[in-house]
Amino acid sequence: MIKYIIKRILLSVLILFGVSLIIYVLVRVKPGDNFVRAKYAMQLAQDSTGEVEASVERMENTYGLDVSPVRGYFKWLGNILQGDWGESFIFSVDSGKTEKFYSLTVNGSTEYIKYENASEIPAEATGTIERAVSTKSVIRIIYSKCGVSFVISLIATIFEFVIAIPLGIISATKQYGVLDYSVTVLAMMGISLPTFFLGALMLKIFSIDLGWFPYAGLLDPNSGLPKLVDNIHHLVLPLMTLIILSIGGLMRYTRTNMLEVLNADYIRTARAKGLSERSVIYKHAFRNSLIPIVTMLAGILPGLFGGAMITETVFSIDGIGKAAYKAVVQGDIPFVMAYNMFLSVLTVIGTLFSDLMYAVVDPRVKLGD
Amino acid sequence: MSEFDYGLPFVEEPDDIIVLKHLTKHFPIKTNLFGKVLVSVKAVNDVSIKVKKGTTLGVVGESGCGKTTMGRTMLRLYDVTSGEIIYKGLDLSRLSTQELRKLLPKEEKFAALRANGGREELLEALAVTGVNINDVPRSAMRKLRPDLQIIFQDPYSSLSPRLTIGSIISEAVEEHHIVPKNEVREYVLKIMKECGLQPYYYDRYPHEFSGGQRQRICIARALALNPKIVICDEPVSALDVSIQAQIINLLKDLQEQRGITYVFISHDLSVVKHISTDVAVMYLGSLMEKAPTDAIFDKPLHPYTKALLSAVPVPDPNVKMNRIILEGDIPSPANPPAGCKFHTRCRECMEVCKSVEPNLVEYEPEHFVACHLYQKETNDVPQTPTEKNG
Repeated sequence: MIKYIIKRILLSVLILFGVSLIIYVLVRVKPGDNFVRAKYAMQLAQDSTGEVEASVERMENTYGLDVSPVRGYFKWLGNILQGDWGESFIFSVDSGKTEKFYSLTVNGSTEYIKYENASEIPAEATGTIERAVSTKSVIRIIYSKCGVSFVISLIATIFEFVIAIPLGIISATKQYGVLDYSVTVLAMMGISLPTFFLGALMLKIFSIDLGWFPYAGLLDPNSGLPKLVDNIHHLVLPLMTLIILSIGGLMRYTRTNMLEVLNADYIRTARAKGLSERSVIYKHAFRNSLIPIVTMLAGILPGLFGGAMITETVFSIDGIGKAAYKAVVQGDIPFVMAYNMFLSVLTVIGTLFSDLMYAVVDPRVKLGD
Repeated sequence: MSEFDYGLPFVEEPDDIIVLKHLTKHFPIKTNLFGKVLVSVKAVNDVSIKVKKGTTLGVVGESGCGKTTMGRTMLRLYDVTSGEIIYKGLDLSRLSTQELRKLLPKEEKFAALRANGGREELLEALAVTGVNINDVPRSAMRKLRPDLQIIFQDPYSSLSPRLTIGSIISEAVEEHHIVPKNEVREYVLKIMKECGLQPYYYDRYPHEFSGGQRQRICIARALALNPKIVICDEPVSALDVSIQAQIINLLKDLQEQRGITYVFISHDLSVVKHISTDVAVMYLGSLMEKAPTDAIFDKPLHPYTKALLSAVPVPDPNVKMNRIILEGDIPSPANPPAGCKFHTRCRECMEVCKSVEPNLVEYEPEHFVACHLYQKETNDVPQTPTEKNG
């Protein structure tokens, strides 16, 4: 088992190298050079300061733009292995660090000046203030934004499983009954609706027309509600959207697997044993139908941390999904590259996890060598 | 007398444990908008048969003749379309008095008993009349299951892959409180030993075993409930010949020790000959011939039985085989031919066979046959009141 896991992890590293190569090549060869545009933007924005040259140089250095694509790839790879994932063009977050400024009164007006060395601080400095330093490091941005997305996705996923699996089971046991058809029709509607449409519809009905729920963000300082209650109030619509869209697929999947298992001979055996119908369905049938459902676990991990791009955008939730959407639209290459690498790491871990779960739920599967 | 007592070819006797009266099972395959059945597969048609306690009834016939459906319907794994399945000597003490009342035949003489009979009286009356398991409420059916067990054809798919052998066998033992809870493991190990399974198999999973061992597990599972009747649905057809012999002998030994009644469904005549006391031959859902094993094999009457027997291989190359080759295919059970169902392939087909369905008659003592060749000799054949619905 341990040997298997080590082997799989080594294999995953190889896969990630492949993914990184694809990401780099795609970004490097794509038409409309975002790096060039970013460079001009920097130059325009900060023309007066001397930082421009340094930023441009630093960017070119990070992505190996000053050398050939092949050497560039390895340069970039070397950088990300050392933890330097580049700086976002459009986002900045609080780095958690602070800078100290000394106030000086010169000719009646107060100026705040930062000194590198303690020896330079003049004696007439009257006081100090501290200012938070923001950072553009994409790693810090991903880290700070995926928390919100994780909480939302976790709640949505729990609801998805709690609602969809029992519905799938009921639907399978009452196959071709009224309940089965109604559940199936609803599930199909859920699967077929595009996210942006359902999201916008929810906003229109429940937020704008009825005014029951707020329409954007996670917190409204003027609501007068406790923070947690206000958060939940804001999350109702996005969560409903996510859940309605996701239960259809899982429910149909559960139903199909249950139907297959319910026709198996060992279910007939269980009935012939004289077990209660409950025990036949849940102990024998459902446990066996779990085996294919476990494959879905592979997709959950990137789903949990990767954010819901469209839902977060529609409901203006400042999570990683919305950030990724914005980054893609505005050509924030460093963020997009780091985000894709982040997702592929999660996918690789998720797949490994679901393979390990196979061995747990199905005694016929032995992981070895 | 119940409504299905008309035209039975036999008389019920006290030591009969299973009595099927005009058992019919149709599967709807096409219904109209309002749920009315338009086309159905007539899997079992008007089968009447009885089995004596402690004997083995072999049921033979080619694929699709309704053997398996009959077996499963007998256990109420399917609901019957019409007819009665009566079992005698089941352990009814697990049922409540209320449930016992419902099981009494709906006849005048039981009216008083049903209204205010005590538990003891009810049990006594039911021991004589037997229980029609179609009258048993679904909830109560569970309590009767230990007495009626089944061994399925495919030992690979009939064991849940997620349970260990121990839990497969002990699950129902616990469910029905066959032995006190703390003795379950010991009891299961004892049963496993009887069925030729090693004690250390207890914590293993089904996929670790070969077909023969799996079938032993299935047998152990069924026997652990102390059944009175076991329906063996082709229990050896998925196994090698050498393993088949072991399993058949195991079943025979267990029958001797425990006095179990078997209904042994198979398409292998030599296996049936070895294990059965009586043999029933089915064709396209109908009973063609039923007789003690020796009578069937020595003196088959029905042309279909003759054809079947002629196909049994003989392990002596010098014996001249006089094979009767049946022409054509078995007709569709959704649209069976009129008259005798076998007439389309019968060598001795007469004009009457094409329009009139022959009744099952007792041509010789204990030897029943449904064929027009043997109808005239017996004049006291009770006629079925109406043609069965099609």
